[in-house]
Order: sequence, then C-alpha cells, then structure tokens
Amino acid sequence: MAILETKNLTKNFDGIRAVDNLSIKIERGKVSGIIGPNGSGKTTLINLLSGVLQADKGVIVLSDSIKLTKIKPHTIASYGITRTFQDVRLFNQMTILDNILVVLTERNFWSAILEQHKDYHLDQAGDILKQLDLWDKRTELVVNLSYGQRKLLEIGRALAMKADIYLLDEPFAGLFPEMRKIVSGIIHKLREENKAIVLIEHNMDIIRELSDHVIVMDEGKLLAQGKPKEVLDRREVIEAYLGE
Amino acid sequence: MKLIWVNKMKEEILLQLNNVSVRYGGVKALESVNATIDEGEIVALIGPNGAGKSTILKAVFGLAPMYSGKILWHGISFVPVSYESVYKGITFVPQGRRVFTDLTVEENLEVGGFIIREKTELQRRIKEVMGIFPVLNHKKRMKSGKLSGGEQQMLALARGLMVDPKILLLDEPSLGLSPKIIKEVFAKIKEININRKTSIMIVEHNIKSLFEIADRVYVLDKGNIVAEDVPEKIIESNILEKVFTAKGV
Repeated sequence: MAILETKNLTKNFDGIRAVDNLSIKIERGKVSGIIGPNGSGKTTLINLLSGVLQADKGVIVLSDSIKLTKIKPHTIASYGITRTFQDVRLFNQMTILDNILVVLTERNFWSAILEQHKDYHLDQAGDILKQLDLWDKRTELVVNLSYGQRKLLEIGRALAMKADIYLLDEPFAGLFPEMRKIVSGIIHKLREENKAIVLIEHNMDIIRELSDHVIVMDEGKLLAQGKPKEVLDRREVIEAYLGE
Repeated sequence: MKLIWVNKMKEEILLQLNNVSVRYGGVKALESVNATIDEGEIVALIGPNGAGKSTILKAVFGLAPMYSGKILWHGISFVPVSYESVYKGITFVPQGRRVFTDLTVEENLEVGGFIIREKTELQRRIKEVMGIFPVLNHKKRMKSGKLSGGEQQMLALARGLMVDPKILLLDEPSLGLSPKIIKEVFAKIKEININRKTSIMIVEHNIKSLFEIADRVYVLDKGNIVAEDVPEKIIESNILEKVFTAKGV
C-alpha cells in the first residue's frame, strides 16, 4: 500500500506547467529516487507534497484515505511528513544544538511556555548529532559552519521530526565522500525503520546505490519509472537527462 | 608538493594571498594560506567540506573576516571590500546561484553591472553577455525565480561577467545541476576563460568536470593548503585519497 500518492497533480506558473498530471506512488520502507533535468518539476513536486505550494489540479492522498487538498507547510509535521531544502534553511544565529532542540521541543503554545529542556531532549539531540559527526561542534553558531556541515545539520533537523515520510531535496549536493557516506548511512537506516524516503538527486551512482524505485520527470510529466537499472538504461532518459 | 609555475613564468601574477588566516569567532577557517592566480589561468580549489575552499574566495572578495596576512592585487596590498573589488575587476558567483528571484533576467544583469554609469554601455554589456548565454536572451523579461536551476546558474555566471572581470570567483557552479547541464556550464566557463582571457578561481566538488578545465589545483585540508600542482599530477599522487578519507568535519 502506498503511504503517499499523487493523482493527476498539476501546478502552473504563469503559463508554464511545472508539474503536469503527475500520478505517482510512494511506499514505506523504500527509497523513491526522483531524477530529471533542471526545470523538470522535481522541487515543485516536493513543494506540493510539503504544502509550500498549492496544486492547481489533482490530489495528494496519504495512507490511501486522507486527502491532502489544502495543506500548509506548518501542518505537514502532523501528517508525519518532513523535508529538507535544496538551499539549506537553518537558524544561522543559533547553535547547532539549538537548531535540533527547536524541533524536539514542544510546538503547542502553552506547552512550550511551561516546558523546560529535559535530559531526554538533550539525549535525543545528542544521538542525532553523533550520527552526523557534529556533536563536537554543538556549541558553534550555524553561521560559522561550512556548506557541508550545514547540509548535514538540516538532515539532522529532519531526523528530529521522527516523521514517516522524508522528502529529501538533493541532500548529497556539494558533499564530499566522507559526508556522503554519513548521509547514505542515514537513508539506509530510515529504510530499515520502514520509513518512506523521497530522494531528489542528480548523482546517478547514488541513485543506483540507494533507490528501490526511480521516477523520472521531464517538463513536469512522468517520463519513466521502475527499478534503477531498467529506468537508467532507457534511451529517452539518457537523452533527456544525461545528454549522452 | 613543489610549487610549480608551468608556462606561467612570464605571465603576471594577478592576485596573491600571503599568509592569509581567517577566523570565524574561535573557529580557524584558514591558516596562513599562500596562493596565487595568474592572468588567464583557471585555478581549482578542492578539499573536504570545511577545508576552507569557499573561505578563500570570500576572503578575496572581502566577505570573510581576515585575521592576519595580506592580499595583493598586481603586487600591491589591499583590503578587500566586496563592492570595491568589483571596481578592481574581481567578481564573485556564490554557491547556490543567489539570483534576485523577483527581478527579471535583464534586471539581474543590470544589478551585476552596477558600476557601469553609461546607460548605452550598460545595454551594450547586457547584449554582449546575452550573446554568451543565448538561453537568457529568450527569457530576458522573465522573473529569474521562474527559471530552471541550470538557467539560474547561467544567469549567476552572466551577472558575474557584466563588468568584464579580470578574475571570476566561482563557488560550486555545478551544485544542483543535472549531468547534461553541468557539461554545458563547464563548457561555458572554459569558453569564457579562453575567449575573454578571464582568470577563474573555482571551488567545485565535481572533480572530474573540474580537472578537465583547470590549469592548476590547490588541495586544502582543515584550513591549510596541503598540495599544489597540475591536475594530472594531483591525480597521480595519493593526496586526494588522503584528504578525502580522513575525517572531513
């Protein structure tokens, strides 16, 4: 059963059809790799799934029953959805640790006022930061981090959401091998925990390694989908995407 | 690794970093770095995340707090301030495109040419830059936020070229681009370097594409330059294996 499904999802920008009648299924315990040329609608799709944009047509269905017609970005957590951004969005003037604690602590207004940081919040933040190899830097301000470290921290913040569905928009972009290994390990672990992972990525080696299912988009439409080997060898995918 | 000046002896050093150190608060981002870029040269900066590559570009452009050391332009020391650097002929294309998404393509280019006072000269430059990137010419009235990632990267490059710089500082130009577009962007970078003799200092994680266009490479690790050579020699040495398999954070 698909945990997340789009049916004829469509989004226009000033006459440009960014997502065009897209129907796809995302399953639990699987990594769904989304690839496609720049401008093919991948990030727009993530923006629609996370409520950043509203669809012009079509529906998003959660767990085969809940229709997400007018979701807002601040409500997606309650549906078990979290995301990362292509251009990292962190609280720059806060420390690494505080960026994680913001997510872990209460969101309800009155609870947040009454709540004090408890040891278990710190323990949870510690577990996440150790996975990312950022624990030793926990007191540093985010503004002073390198791009790669910021990328990792954003993934950490998504992990702190303890979501069911992870929408990861190019989490490997700009990362060197050691950091890629960390991110790759995290995605493997999420899959083992039966989470659904949507992974936008341009690096085909990573797509081959991690994806269970590949969805290829071109000009907002579904160009191809299936197992990585089958999809990536198709002529139209190679022509549209790899330019070979 | 030995400092090399292959075929560069007669050419002038445009920019020189002498013992440059940068600190962000208590964090040592660069430690006594010495580097140069010559006229018409493409210099690559590589190393793990957090090695200090982007910081070198930012230091040259006056966006990083210099703790000690000097930066020399044609042998004369100066204190980099970003907008003043543009007057000298140094432009910076930052990581992540950073185009003005609410401005049109043409308006973004006008911003890039902010030091050009003559309107006719500004229009001439826009036309010239659009000639390098024809795809932008077709979309000059479009808000740049509506462009695809590849087109935004082209626009960021084009904006950096508006003042016909002597040095172009490029931070991760392939970030977020599909393989096909990466080829196009790197072909454009090489074309700019050859046709306009623009010197280019480039940070890039896509080493294969980078080494195809670079004349010289600096390898950084933990704020220090640990090697410098031509791409072929860097590949032959085991330095990349060393720095990338050691802890990068």
